Amino acid sequence: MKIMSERQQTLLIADDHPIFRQGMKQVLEPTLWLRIVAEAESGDSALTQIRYLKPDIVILDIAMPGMDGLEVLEKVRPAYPDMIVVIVTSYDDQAYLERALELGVNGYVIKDVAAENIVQCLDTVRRGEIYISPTLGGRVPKLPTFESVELESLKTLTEMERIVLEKVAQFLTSKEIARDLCVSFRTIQNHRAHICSKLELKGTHQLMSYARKHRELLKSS
Amino acid sequence: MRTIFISIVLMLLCSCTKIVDAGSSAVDISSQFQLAHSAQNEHQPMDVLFGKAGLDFHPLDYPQDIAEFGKDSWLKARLRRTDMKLEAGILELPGQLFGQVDIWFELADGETLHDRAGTWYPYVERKVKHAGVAFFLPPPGQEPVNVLIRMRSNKAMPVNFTALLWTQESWSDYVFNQRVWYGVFLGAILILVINNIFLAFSFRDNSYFFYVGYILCLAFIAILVSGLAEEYLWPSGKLRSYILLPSGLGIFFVVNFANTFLNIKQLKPSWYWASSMLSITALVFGVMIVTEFRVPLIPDFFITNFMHILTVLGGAYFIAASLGSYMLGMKQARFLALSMLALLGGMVIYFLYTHGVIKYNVYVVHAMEVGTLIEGVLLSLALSDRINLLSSEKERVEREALAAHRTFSKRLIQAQEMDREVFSNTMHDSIGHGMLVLKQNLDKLASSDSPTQNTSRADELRRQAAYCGEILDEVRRISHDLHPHLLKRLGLKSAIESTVEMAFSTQSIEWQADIGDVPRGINKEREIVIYRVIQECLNNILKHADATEVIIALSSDNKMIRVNIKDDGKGIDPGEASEIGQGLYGMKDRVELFGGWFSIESRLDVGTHISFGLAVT
Repeated sequence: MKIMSERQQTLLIADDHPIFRQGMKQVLEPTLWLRIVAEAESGDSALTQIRYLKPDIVILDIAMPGMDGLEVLEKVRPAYPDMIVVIVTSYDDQAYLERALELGVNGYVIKDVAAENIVQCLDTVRRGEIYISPTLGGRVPKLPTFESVELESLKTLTEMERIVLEKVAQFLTSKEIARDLCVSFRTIQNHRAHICSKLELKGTHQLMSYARKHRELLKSS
Repeated sequence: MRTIFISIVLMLLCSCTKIVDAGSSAVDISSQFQLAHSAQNEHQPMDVLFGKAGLDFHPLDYPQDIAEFGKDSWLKARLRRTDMKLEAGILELPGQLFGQVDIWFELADGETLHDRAGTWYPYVERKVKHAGVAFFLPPPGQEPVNVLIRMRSNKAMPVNFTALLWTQESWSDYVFNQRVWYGVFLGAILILVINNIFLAFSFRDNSYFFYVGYILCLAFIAILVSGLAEEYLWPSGKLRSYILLPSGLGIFFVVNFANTFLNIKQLKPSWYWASSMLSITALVFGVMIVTEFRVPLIPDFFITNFMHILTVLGGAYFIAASLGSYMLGMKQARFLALSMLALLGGMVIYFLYTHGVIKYNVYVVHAMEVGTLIEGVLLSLALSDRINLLSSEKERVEREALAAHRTFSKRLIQAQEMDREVFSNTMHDSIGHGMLVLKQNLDKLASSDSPTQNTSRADELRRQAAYCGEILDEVRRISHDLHPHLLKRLGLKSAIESTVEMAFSTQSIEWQADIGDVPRGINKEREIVIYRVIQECLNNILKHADATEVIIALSSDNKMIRVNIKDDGKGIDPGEASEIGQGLYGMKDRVELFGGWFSIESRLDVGTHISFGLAVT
């Protein structure tokens, strides 16, 4: 047996399903640099053990009785900024991932592929990088930021584009805008695409939100 | 209740006829008098009596209002009882109150006698103990007798001078019957008061207290006007006229009675506040006048006249409010309008008499009291009428609430059943079916030693694992539909955004969402309602609308959350809206159950716009 030069890292697994914990242990057993020091079947138990044992790495499920994984993360992160926390969950909603990243998670793994990916994930996060399951895109999602686009980018809009944007802010569909302005539906679609690219918006989904937030700016410019 | 009122009315009628009987035996000598006016204290009574004052006497144009503000009214006549074939003993000036009435008799032998009555002189000094104004005539034998009467009043009250001669027997009959009348009148008022105080306590309804206050004011006015006040309350003289105190109080009570009884505060708040101001002003002025509290710069006569205007306004308001409410469909207002008309009718008759338009008779003198009593009875009827109306109204509302509750429960059960059916079908069709296929495949894999030529066993297992993944996705979707776990963990904004994204990401539908931040203090149950309704809307759009674009906005202030969802689909055809209709009712019910509003606008081939709002707590 090869003896590791560095000391073994301690690991805590928190999940309310014993079968899942069992499986996880089986998958991680061959990983020599890891030592599983504790298991928890609820968020509260996980938090208590984390405080007592101070493991190097924590694997957290989101859906647990009592305190959920995100809440545990929220409490753990400020107290132990260097602790590695990986969320392993069956939820593939973007919203959970965003929230977890906001709270400072190191890894996010979907349970479907946990068996294959967890070792790779732990290797990645150990190096100080962030790991996200490939099914979720495998990259840190770009959160929309409106602050960068201000008056400057608004000024690049044509008169017609500005009118369309105002109509969007008034909660009108493209069809309604087309009818109001006596142009074709296609034209409005084109205008919207142009506006989005000029304002550097990720997609047309954000158009109305942007238009409504910058209503005052639209009027004044 | 009704029997009490009927017996009161019968007793009133009996006592009225008794008074009329007695009254018919009196002789009206008013037209024998001559009238002159002079400034107060300008002439000595003896000079006027002996004709030395040079006053210009005119025959009385009976009936006539003889009062002139700030002046003495002199009336003289020459009486010959023998001519009248009457053993008259008493001269009565009936029907109204006078401040000071002095009378002088000049007998045939030149001797003069003096007597006096009126509210400003102490009752105890009156020779004829009577609430009104009456004097003993000099004993017979000295005929003819010259009579001189001086009337003095500082108030601008009208006086319709009437003089009646009574024999001793008919006088005592008359006095007795009058006492019976007032006994019945006050007794009836007392019954109404006790009855309604009792009702006020048992129904905990303020309008009964206002009624009682009002009726007591009216009774007090009647006591003051009839002179009973001097006889029983201030026999040694009362310092001032109290009449404006019950007037002011009465306006206060009657206006508030109408307001609480007709629920004007809700019906017409502007009327309510205006009338409340009026009633409080009347109350304050009434108290001010009687306590002789003087406000600098506001002259007395202004306040007095202002009170008269307020009295008229109060009555007018009462009638206007009751007629207005009656027009608006408030049935119990009918008695109110009638009752005030009865009182006003009585007052009009009485004032027509005092202003000298109609002659004295026993009915007109008591017209105001009769009006008061009719009003009291009618208002009391209105109050008991109200109990019936209110209880039937309450029953109706309860029935409707029960029916609404039943429909809601029925719809809820239907909706639940529909949901269950959907989930059962999904479980059976996709998950059940998927698991079955998986089992068969695994069985096949286990039983065959050599899998198909081209694929290794590992490949085959991987294929099955991928298949498992699909089933898992399905399970996740159902779980998400069953309970919005995002809502619980990440809040409404994230849950809605995620749901919208999930609903439309696989469709070729353009969507835009502006989901504002939700106030922190929002009630969890309401969050679920908002989330569910949005979910249902999105499902409808996906299933039925055939839309190319969907826009969703959620905005809120600290009190209210508003949601707008609009699509450009084919709209809801009212002809075939049964399934969607049920869903819409479900949404509307949910929102309205929490006190919110829900509206839907749909035009064929233009789209559907659903908006709803819910208070935060």
